Amino acid sequence: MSLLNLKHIKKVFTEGNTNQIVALRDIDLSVEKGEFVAIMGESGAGKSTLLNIIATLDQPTSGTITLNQTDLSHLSEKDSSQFRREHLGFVFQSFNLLDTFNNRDNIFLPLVLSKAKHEFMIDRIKPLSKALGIDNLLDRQPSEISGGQKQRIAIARALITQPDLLLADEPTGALDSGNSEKILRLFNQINHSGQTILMVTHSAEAASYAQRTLFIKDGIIYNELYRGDQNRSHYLEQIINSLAALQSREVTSQ
Amino acid sequence: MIQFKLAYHHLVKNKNQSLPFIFSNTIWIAVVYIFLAMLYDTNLKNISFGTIAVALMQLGLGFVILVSGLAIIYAEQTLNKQRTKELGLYSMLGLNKHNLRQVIGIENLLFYAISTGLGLIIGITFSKLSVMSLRVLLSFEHLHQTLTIKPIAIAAIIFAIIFLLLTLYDFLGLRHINPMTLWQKASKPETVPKGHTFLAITGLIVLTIGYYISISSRASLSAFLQMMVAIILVVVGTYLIFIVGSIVFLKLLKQNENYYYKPKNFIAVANMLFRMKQNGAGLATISLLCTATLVSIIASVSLVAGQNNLLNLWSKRDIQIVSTSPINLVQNEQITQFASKTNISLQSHRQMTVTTPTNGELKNNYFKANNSLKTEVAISSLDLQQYNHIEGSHYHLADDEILLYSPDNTYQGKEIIIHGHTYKVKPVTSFDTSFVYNHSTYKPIFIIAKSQAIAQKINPTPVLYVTSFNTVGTKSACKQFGEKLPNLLNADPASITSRFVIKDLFGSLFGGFLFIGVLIGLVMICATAMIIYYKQVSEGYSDKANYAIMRQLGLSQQETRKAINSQVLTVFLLPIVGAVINLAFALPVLKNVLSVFSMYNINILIIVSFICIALLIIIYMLIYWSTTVVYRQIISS
Repeated sequence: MSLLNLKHIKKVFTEGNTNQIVALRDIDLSVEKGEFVAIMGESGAGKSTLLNIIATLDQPTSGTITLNQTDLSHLSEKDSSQFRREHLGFVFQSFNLLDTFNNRDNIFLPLVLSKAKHEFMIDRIKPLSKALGIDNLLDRQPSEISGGQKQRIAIARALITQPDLLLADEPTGALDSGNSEKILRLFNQINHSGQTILMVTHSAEAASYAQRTLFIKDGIIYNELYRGDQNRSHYLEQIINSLAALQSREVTSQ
Repeated sequence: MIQFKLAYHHLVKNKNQSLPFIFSNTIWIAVVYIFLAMLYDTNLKNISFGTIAVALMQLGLGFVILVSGLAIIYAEQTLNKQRTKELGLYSMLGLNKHNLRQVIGIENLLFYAISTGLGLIIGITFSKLSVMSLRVLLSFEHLHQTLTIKPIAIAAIIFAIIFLLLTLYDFLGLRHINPMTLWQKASKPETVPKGHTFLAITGLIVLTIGYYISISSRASLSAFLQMMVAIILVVVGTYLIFIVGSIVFLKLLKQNENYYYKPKNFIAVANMLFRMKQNGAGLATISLLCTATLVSIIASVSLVAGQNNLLNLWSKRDIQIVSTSPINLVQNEQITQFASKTNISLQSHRQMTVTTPTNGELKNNYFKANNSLKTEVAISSLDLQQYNHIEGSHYHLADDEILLYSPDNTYQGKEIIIHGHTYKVKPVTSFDTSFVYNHSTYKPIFIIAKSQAIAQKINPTPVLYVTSFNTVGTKSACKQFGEKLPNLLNADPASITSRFVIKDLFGSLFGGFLFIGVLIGLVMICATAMIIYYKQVSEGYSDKANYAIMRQLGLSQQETRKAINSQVLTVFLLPIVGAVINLAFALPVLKNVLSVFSMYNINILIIVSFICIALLIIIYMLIYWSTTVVYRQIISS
């Protein structure tokens, strides 16, 4: 059984009384444990909606979604909050660190919300901060560090609960290429240690770090690319070609 | 002009912050205007004891101006954070510092104009409405109010000065700052103020001096300046203590890992520490407003509650005549005739002779005659035979023993030393024909000695003849009798006391004070509510984004509610505790002020204080509860 399973997911937004917008038409998707999957697509293709549904921030209009055999499509507000902090880790484009906390407490936040013991938090953060190279940043405020450093703190916050699934929403969108590369290498490194990652991105470069890339368009999955044994630059080429094909199909279909 | 556009744009765009700021400024301006209007637009000066009322109003005015100035400066700091970011952007886009100053200047001018306009309208409406309604409610017809330009102009000028200082302060903040730091400053947490131990000690010292002045000074018009200094010191001290104290308190909470790393406390403590100075300043403002509410209500209610006490002090008999020569037969005949003419009968006629009271002070049981600022008692003496006759008692005294009657038994000493002689004191609690000579405000003390000779030795002054009786008849007849009696006997009105006349006089006099006290209390409690509302709304908007992030990370609605409650409850009681401490040190002053009105009964003051504190806590909780609902709505919208 796969870790994450989406079957016939449909999401319709109703604007006003009549105007219906179909964000997701029919999504079938499964992610295996230990996989690193990238989801690509244009703005408005339905990536964010899909991510919100997987993140239990939104619920599908129809279809089923399970993570580790837990049905996510009908969780109550309270249960979904608890589910998010226990099973999911989040990395955002704009980092979403809280400026009221220092970096250490930002990382502790999900554990505090889960009422973990302070000793337990300290045990968890030690290896993590070492692996992410953020030891010397912990006592500083988010406002005092650079974008790349902020994203490392955010990743630490996402990983400290040892989540089943790490959800990353454009994690390199606000970073320069040098920092982007460092963060993506870090993702690879985390993935190699067994962490399942689902990443939404615009960037072919970012997607090329994943093992599998899904292309979404008009609310369905259009295409799927496996990296297999290819090296990264080769895979990147494939992704770029695929994107070009996706766009040209758009032109011809019009 | 681009600067105007930018200023206006900023004000409108950040309406989440600028509206609450305008709102709180409006409240302050309205409050200051209400005080000014009471001083300049009413006949306050001309009602009885008006000079004291005016002096008290001036003290109140000084207090609100000071508090509003400090509160506005602190409120603007929050606003400034956001503005600093925008200014950084403008500066990157090529505006020079002079241009930035213009933007700040114009924006502050806009704030000033809008707040002052609204504040004056609200102030005028509120003072008109409240004077009208309180006149009806308290049936107090003696106070009249007009509408003149003077208080409006003064209020406008006062706040122009405050805003001018604010603008200069903003300009100062612009120096030595480059675009990048301007840009980053916005998301930085507030830092612990430099030298906060020093500030804490300064705060304590300032507060202690303020308290000391207020306890040690005597209530009189000459102490006005002292009282003003005490108020300033207490206000500044309260601000310092609250700011530094709340920071230390929060830091301690944060250091306690078992407390801090709990979901609700974690968020609450971090939020409060992030804006710690502002948090402390807000709490101090609320605390001071609560103090002012308590002081004004307690003082005025105590006066009204003590009214009967004062009445009994002045005269327990319906009519009391104090004269330097005995009532002669002709006068006696005149009184009886006038009584039957006004359809009343005279009963239990009594006469006594006492020595003319000598003013002075009592210190360590030692009486020293004087007439100065320190004077607080007026001592007179009589012999035991008269006292036993009047009271129907059977006391026996030795030569060095005396009975001592003081109002509400306020003399506690076991002996008293007068003119070098020590007398053993036996306190007595009743004296039917006690009186206040010339209705002075000095505390009357009657010494009953074994014989007339000893009485004369104790207080060697000419004797006074005190004639008193009760009147039986209709209330209006009795009052008419009392009013006309001085004329009939061709005597000084102060020498003839009629309970019926005095009761009416007190009714209007203390009604006036109750009126002013309730008005000020009302204004203060409204201001408190508004400031708490302002605090919650402005904090709500600044916390909103953080709560949104935490919801994404897995904070449920229920946990959000818990965190908010913890944030509110952790510091919720501090302002009330501060207000009660401030009040405790204000009580001696209140006691002194009340003694100007010959009220020496501290029990009334204490009972009224407890009732007022209890009421305030209830109202305060209601305000907090309802504004927390607003905060929660902002967070979860």
